[in-house]
Amino acid sequence: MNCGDVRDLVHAYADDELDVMTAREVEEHLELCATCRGKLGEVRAVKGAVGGQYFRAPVGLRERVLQEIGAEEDRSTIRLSPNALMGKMPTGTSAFPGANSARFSGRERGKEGRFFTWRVLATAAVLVIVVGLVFMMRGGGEDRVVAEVLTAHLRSLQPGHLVDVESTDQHTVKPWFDTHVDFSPPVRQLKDEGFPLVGGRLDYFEDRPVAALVYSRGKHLINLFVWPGEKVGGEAQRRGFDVVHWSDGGMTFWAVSDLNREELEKFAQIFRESTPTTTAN
Amino acid sequence: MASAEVMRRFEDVVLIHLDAAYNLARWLTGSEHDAQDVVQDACVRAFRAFDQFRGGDARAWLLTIIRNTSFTLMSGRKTQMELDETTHEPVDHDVDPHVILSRASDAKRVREAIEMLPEELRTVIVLREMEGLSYKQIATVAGVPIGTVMSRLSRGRERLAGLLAEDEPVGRGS
Repeated sequence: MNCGDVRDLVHAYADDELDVMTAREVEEHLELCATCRGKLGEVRAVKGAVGGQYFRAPVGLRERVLQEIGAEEDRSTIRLSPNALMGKMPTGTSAFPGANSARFSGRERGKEGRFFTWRVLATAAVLVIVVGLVFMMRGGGEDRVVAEVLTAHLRSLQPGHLVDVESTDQHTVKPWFDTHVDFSPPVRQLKDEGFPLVGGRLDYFEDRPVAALVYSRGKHLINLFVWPGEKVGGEAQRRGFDVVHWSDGGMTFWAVSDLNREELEKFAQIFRESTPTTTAN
Repeated sequence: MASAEVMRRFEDVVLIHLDAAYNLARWLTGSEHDAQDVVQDACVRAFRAFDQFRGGDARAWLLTIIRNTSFTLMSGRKTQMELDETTHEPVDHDVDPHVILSRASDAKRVREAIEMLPEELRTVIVLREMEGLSYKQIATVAGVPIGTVMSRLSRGRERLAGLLAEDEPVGRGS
């Protein structure tokens, strides 16, 4: 085996893709030839440099994928019937985390829109819920807040909308809010409790700025909306939605997620009991 | 109509490769936003075709769909960074591994060098060095014979070695 042969084979050798016999012949040549050893070193150096440049899937992508698949699955049964929306809303299930939007659409009546792309229909599904919720929630202020909370949660799951400041460090997220809203939301890192902080976002409910803290639980996301105010209504649970509401230190809190109810309540409990990094003004 | 059972199986078999899917899409599109769109489109396509998936290599299967979806999205667009085959000849001399190693810690520089590779070289480099796919799996995803995978890998690495060894950081018109 000469240098020309080895230079052809050195990549496959570095990749461990040669059969044993050929690999041994390459090795025999490498022992004798410093130039080819240098070539192998070059190949390995490039491999090492490139190998570390990995982009992991961003937080929330999995949920959005499942949401879109859920919408796709219900493609032929999307309804605009308010009756379907007035019924009891199913909560997120483990099989369809994030797919609530599609689930809300119901299954009684309607026709198939084959000329729509699935993407248009997925968007339509979200709009149906939003419209439906606003319609349904038009009643009291509390209901309207629930609708806002759910709408904002769904909106945040769209690509690029989850966080304005992405950080697992409460000491980064907290000062960011201090410069973006005129109140001081308590930011807590709950990683040790199993709810790592993902980041923060500025959101608007009826033109009022609200702080959105984003936490994760495995593949699920939790939006915790905070603004100055008191608790409204006596019930934390609303029509089967996974929304938990409380108030503390002059702030009102709304947590929303496709997590199961127990887990979301656990999150709320942990958040309330944890030591605040700063007390609210 | 897919049942929750099918959905769960899809999650277990296919969606566990979400990082791999995103990584390839990210390198093929050059944008976080486009990559997320590609992954979502591709996963819906994969889900639709899932009942025809008869076991086997789910990762290679998903990555093939990712690649096709990326092309659909990118068709009509021109990636700015990509090297023109004619304007940037690969170096024909060997590069000192120590020079490459000294530049490997500069993540931005390494990333730009990868982005400058023509797509067909970039794909095999990403699949091999980041995903650790075998030549056979890469051949499946890229839709070319194994011999072509081998020559693309060596050309891709030669290019990268040359780009990383340049004194000036890589960039347009260099």
